[in-house]
Amino acid sequence: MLELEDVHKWFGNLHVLKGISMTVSRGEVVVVIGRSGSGKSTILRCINGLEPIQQGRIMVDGEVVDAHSRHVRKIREEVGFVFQSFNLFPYYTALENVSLALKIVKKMPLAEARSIAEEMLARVGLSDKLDAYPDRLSGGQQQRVAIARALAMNPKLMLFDEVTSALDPELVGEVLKVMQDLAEGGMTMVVVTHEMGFARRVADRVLFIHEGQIAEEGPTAQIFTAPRNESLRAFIESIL
Amino acid sequence: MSYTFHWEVPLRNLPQFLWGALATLEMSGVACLLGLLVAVCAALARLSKHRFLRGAATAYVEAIRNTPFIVQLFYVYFGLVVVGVNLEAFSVAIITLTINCGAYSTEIIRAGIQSIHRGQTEAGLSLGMTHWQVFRHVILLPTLRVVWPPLASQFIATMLGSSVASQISAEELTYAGMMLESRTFRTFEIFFFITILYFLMARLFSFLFSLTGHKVFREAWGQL
Ligand SMILES: Nc1ncnc2c1ncn2[C@@H]1O[C@H](COP(=O)(O)OP(=O)(O)O)[C@@H](O)[C@H]1O
Ligand SMILES: [Mg+2]
Repeated sequence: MLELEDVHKWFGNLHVLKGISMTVSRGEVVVVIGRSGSGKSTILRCINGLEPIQQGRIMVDGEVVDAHSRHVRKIREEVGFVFQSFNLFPYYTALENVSLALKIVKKMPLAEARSIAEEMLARVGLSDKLDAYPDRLSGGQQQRVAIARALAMNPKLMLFDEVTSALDPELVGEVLKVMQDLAEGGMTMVVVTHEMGFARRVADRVLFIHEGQIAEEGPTAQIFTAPRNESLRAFIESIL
Repeated sequence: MSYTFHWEVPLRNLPQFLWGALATLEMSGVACLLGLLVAVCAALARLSKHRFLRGAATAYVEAIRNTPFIVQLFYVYFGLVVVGVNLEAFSVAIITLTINCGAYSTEIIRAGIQSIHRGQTEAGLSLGMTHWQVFRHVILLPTLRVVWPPLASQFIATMLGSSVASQISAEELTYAGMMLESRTFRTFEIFFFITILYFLMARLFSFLFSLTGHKVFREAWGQL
């Protein structure tokens, strides 16, 4: 479903991704961990074509991601992205946030877009907030709207970039619950997170990114109980 | 001291008043539409990453907001003559009103756009929108929808302010009143009529605005 082959990314002189290769199969949930600044967000942004890469290849469902081509929009329709800072459209209601792209990207008639949006918001437990504007929603609710907005496009792959990091601790659970449901429903997911409980429950595999490289990868249990890499061991200690 | 009202003076000259009112509507309507265009561009320039664009837009807004309208009007009127451009007073009034209304509206629109961050633009792109779609649906239209009420107040202020154009003999409502006054000396009756007409036009502006606001932004883009 997703394949990265020796991906390199520079920001000016800064070599941020130094040869990332990874494969994610259909229905798999891969958790990505690593210190701040190690390049986790950049990996997700490259997969979605929000950042161009300078070397290597990224394939989503057999199609090459080229940030500069028009075709990248087709791929973005099929890849949902959920951001740490929610990024809801502030002047649209929850329902409008979810249905906007259905109307203007998928060119759906209003009634159909609306019914899909309602269904998605119900799925994330927000049926009673359809007409609420983002500033009237808690962080957890906003993030669930953002997930519903991505899901409405019916993506094949979902990318989550530290989606609970900006939340008050008591709101983290409701978002993780939605993500777990999604994983159990068979969605292919790449999840950057520091929620180790979530990783243990949901992830099939964990990747540890260190200084722009995959320093270690393996089944969840092994990564947490028997880390081989020195920096991984230090990292796990630091977050426990 | 007794004053005999001569209401027949304005009543007899009603066509002149109505003609003046239409001229005011035309002058200020055109200026508001053009001013809106100017304001959208200037607001984007003020928020742009290019320092020159930002500086130019800021200079424009500050220059206009910190000088009196009548001075701007004379400036444009005589300035154009100096550079050899001879325009009718009516056109000069439209140009100056556009510049003036544009500057005030720039600040209104900029404040609205500022609540939309780069992250929201990326969210739009990540849903498969084109840059143009993001600009239109994520930035411009929702911003206009939110700033429509303060814009309406600004446009009404512009319409009322257009009476100053009478000072360069642009033919609009106040000018029509002044002409009639100089022939008949019925100052009170004439300006009472003019007051009523301005008031009615301001209400008309308000009404048109809420109507377009609902039509354009709710039915076309919202789902309510
Ligand atoms: N747009 C950018 N321009 C320049 N440097 C960037 C940009 N985005 C990220 N970086 C740098 O790339 C590195 C990796 O960033 P990021 O992928 O955000 O890390 P993480 O998500 O793991 O915290 C950091 O050193 C960061 O400063
Ligand atoms: Mg990050």
